[in-house]
Amino acid sequence: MTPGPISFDSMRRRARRAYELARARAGAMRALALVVLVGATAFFSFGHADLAWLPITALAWTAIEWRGGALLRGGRIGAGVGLVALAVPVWAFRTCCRAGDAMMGGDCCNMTSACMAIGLLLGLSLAVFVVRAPREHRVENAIGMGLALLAVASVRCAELLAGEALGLLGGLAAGAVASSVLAAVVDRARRVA
Amino acid sequence: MSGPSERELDALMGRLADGDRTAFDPLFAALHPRALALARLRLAAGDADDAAQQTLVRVFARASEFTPGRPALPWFYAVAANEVHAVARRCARGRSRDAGVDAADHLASNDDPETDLLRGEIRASVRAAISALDDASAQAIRSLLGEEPHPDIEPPAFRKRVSRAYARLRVLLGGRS
Repeated sequence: MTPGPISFDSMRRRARRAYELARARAGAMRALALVVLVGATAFFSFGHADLAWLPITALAWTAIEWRGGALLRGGRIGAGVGLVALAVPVWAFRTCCRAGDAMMGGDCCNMTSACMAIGLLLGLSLAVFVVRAPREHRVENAIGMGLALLAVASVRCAELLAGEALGLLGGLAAGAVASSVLAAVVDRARRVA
Repeated sequence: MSGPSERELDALMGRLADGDRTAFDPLFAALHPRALALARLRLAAGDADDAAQQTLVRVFARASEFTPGRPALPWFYAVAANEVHAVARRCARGRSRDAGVDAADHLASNDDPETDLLRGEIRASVRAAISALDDASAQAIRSLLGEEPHPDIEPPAFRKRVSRAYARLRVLLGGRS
């Protein structure tokens, strides 16, 4: 028996589902590659405690890859900057704990301000890229950068104390917001000129 | 085949590959009749629907692998031809189709202007892909099709060149190497 005709809408729905599933699958595979890279960096830099955060990296990157477009373009930059955050040595976050320094008490290593400054610096470095993105995609681009940055840099949190981690993430968020504002100002100045 | 031009189709496919979902509906509307017409060239109506659906599912599942800037139709027809071939093979294995009404419909549909247009489009796509090959490969395939004189090389070398040219053409048309 010959099967009945398949409606246009039914074919469209199946094709759409196939498209979304294929994107999610490809995204998950690429997320796996990023997780291996981030995991290896984190493991060799500061041990296995940080690997518990990797599912967040995997989920965030799968979502970014699945969505694609400006979010993914921003996400690639954010992930790059996040890897830099991972590579910053521990003493930069804990300025009083440099080699030879003694632990002076409970607050000695809780250098939130140093973390905030590093986070802010990394977040601000995004401004260069945000300004270069087309204006209509700038918001999506910035969200992708922020999401990927936090997804990669959050692995660092397990290794830092709560205050430092919050400082780093707060700094990154503040830097991302500041870079977006800066991009808007530059853009307006360009249009006036 | 009315609707978007080839250049517009290339752009739509490029946008979809990049993740722009707004390109999906116009692209689907443009590719659906092509998939159906191509399937009907070889299969009975019901099987053609099935093959067209599989073609579209496969094309859109692989849409993210499409390289923006490359022509979309040769890529589409390469995927579609594979799917139609697979369904035809399955049908031939599963049941022996009688040459009754279905075949009459089939022959009638082969003469309609839409089918002619489709054949022209496929021919143009393959020609564009052959032109994009390196000179030696393009010459090997054209001489095999009788469009150019046989190159002045030994038969084993020619066979090897044709085999390499086909492999390159397959990759160019979006197939796997």
